[in-house]
Amino acid sequence: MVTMRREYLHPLPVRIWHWVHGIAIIILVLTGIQIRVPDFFTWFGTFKSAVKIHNIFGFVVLFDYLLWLGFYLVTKQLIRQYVPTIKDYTIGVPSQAAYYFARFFLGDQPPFEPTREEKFNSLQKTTYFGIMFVLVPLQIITGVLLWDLERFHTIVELLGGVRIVDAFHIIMAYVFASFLIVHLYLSSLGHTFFSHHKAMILGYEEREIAEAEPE
Amino acid sequence: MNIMRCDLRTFRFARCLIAPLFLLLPSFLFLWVGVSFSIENEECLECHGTRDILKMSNEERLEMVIPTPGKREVRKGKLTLFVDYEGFRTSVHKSLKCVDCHSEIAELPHPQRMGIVNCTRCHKEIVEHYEESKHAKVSKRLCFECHNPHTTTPFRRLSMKDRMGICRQCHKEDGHRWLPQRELHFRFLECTVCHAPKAEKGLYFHLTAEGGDGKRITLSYKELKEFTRGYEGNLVKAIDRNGNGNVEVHEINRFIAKLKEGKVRSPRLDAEVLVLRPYHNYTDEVKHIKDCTMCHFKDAPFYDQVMLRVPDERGGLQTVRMDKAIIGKLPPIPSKDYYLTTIHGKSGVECIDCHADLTILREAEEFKVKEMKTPVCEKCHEKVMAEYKNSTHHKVSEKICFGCHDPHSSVPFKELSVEQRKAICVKCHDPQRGHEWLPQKELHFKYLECTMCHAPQAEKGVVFYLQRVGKKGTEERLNYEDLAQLLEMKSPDLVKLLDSNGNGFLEDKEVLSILQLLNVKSRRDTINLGVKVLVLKPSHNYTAKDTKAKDCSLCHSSGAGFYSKLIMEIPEHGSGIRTLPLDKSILAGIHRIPVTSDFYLLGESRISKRDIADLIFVVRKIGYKWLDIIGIFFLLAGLGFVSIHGLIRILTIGIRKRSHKGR
Repeated sequence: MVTMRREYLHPLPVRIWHWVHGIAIIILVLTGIQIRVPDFFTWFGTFKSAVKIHNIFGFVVLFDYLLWLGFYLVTKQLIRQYVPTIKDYTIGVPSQAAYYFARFFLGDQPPFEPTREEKFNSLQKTTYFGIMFVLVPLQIITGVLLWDLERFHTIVELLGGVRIVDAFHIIMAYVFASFLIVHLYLSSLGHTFFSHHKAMILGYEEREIAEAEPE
Repeated sequence: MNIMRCDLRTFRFARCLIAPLFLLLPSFLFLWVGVSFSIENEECLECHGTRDILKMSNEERLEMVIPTPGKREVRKGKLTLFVDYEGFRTSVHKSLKCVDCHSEIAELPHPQRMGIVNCTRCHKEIVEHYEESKHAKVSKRLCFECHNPHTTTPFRRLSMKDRMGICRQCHKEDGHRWLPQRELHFRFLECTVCHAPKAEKGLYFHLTAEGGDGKRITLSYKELKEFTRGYEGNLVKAIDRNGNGNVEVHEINRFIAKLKEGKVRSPRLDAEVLVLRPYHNYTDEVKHIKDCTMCHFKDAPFYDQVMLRVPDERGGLQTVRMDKAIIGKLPPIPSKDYYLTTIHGKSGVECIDCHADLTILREAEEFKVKEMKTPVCEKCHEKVMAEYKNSTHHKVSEKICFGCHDPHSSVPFKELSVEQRKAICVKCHDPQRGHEWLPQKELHFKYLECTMCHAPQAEKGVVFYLQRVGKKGTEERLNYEDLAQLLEMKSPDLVKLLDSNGNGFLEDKEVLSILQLLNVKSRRDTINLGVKVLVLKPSHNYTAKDTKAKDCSLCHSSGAGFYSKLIMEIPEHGSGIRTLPLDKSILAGIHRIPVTSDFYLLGESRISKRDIADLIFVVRKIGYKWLDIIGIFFLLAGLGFVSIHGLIRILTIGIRKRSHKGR
């Protein structure tokens, strides 16, 4: 017999943070494209207005990031949820990769079921750790530096000049865009197509549990 | 005594004294004789058509004519008793009979020592002009001493060289030492362009190509023949395609493009000033021919007649009218009226200040001028020359000043646009070569002059100006009238308005308050500061290849040299511009207050459409736009994963359904 069980995965602050962050990143990517290729794209009006919007949403991400960091620090979940352990690398990552690349297609059960205490599988943990602890902070820092070159020129000089800072910012922007594509796709790999989306909106993830028939 | 004049006088005398009635009788008589006893050319040629006549002794010749003892022989110049009849038949006089000119001959044999031929009967106007000339009055030359009437070619069909040949039968080139650019004048002008001030002149173009030795040669009919296919072998028809008898600029451009396709080496139009209709009153009078402004000014008469000359099948030349617009394509000849508007002219630099040898033009017109020497620029431009002499440019190319700069059209450096400044270098250097390494190549070319990078010692600065930005992002620099209209003032003193505390220095507050005021008044459009980075004071010590020029940090750092010199350009009444130094804090305002809309100088700047085209074509030259190449790789990797995974996911839907049911 199959029963449905609801698992409360995402508390409200996390959900709010996620959607604010998501929308801001999408806008940053789009304005970023216009700033980089101004001859082709005029989605946000003039070049100047694109820069303005880019700056505004850059700060949205900055504050949103601080909100996220604060929440996880206060709830003392940061390390448990986000920092991969050795076990994650030796067992978790290979089995999760094998699931995504082969066993998923055969309809096998996922090797990992998220719980409130441990939301991410090893692969997610590894990725999100890189994103949230390396990429996002770096992108925020380089972004802030580029926002006001005159003010931060000593730091920029120290880092090797505008070209270096700018190069990092652009390469990472491409990485974010690429991540966004994969992230959107993988979000449909739940029990049903929309189960992860629902969870991200409602907080609960429904999943079926095969219970042993009473003898 | 001038025989021709004497002859003319007799003629006039007869005309005046004998009444018309009397004139009629001999005329009829003459006509009657002419008709009934006309001597055919063949009869003359029996003796004069063979060179044997030249070998005869005087006695032998005398036997052939009716002796006229005592009659003096007239001058014959270079004419001989032998007439090359083949030559005569191609001459302009071919339809005439010998006796039409040699009218003394009524029967054969003719009298010994014939009188002079009277050219006036046909060429009355020319003779009248000629008689006024020094040629006739002083040297007393006769028509046929310059022109051989037996082989005369129509003037229009004579090349410049042929025409000069007529004068140079007697005159050597030696003189003219006073003449600036003597060789250049000789190369392009025939003698009478200067020596016949009243002659009708025109600007003649002809097609030239690069010869084997690198010199330019005029294209012959043989070389052009294949391009006349479909036009009956007629070049004029091949060029003037619409057949309106006027060669338009696009028509000649098209033809030259065809020549290029047809492997003619760098074909182009070359021009020469030619005399269209000669005027036989020559002069060597200083007051006429040494007047340089006869040609060197914008209303020079030859600009009225612009023609194209092309070779024809028969080895001659065909002339067709050309659209005057072609003149715009020519480098202007240094003209005096234009010169006076240049910075040299305005600052009172006279011709003789540079052309030191020209003093003679001002001293009682004597002829004692030395060879023209190279003008000495360092007389005034001492510092520039000292710097330039040590530069690689001078050491390697040995270019002298006017290899790059035309002193006759000099414009103050400040007033040259970036494009004009670049044009000086681009004359010899191709910017597309050697800049492959440069990121955002076209963007750099669009905004920067060459010396921004290639003259590290030049003084650079950031120049601000007021501009209007339209709704669609169009930028338009505001001139004095625009600003007066915006401010609703009749003749505002913009300098005073901007520099409100009058300290000769613009604080950012002063600029921002004016911007605010202008924006309130403008309502529709945004008024802000336009900005460009310019060389303020050039340095003539240019870098060699692969040196400092590749140092991006010269500009792309907050310590870039040009930040130390900020200048505001303020339009003044008329077309003048005042500049005032500007407070550096205006730069800090760039992000917080939208002062400038396009000052995005630093960093890996934006990509233009052209860059994307470049990226596609030059993608193999990696190292160029590497950021985006790597970035696009990331994107493709992401998309690749998603699409492959998605595809397998769709293909395996059945498998999953079955396993689900089985569970």
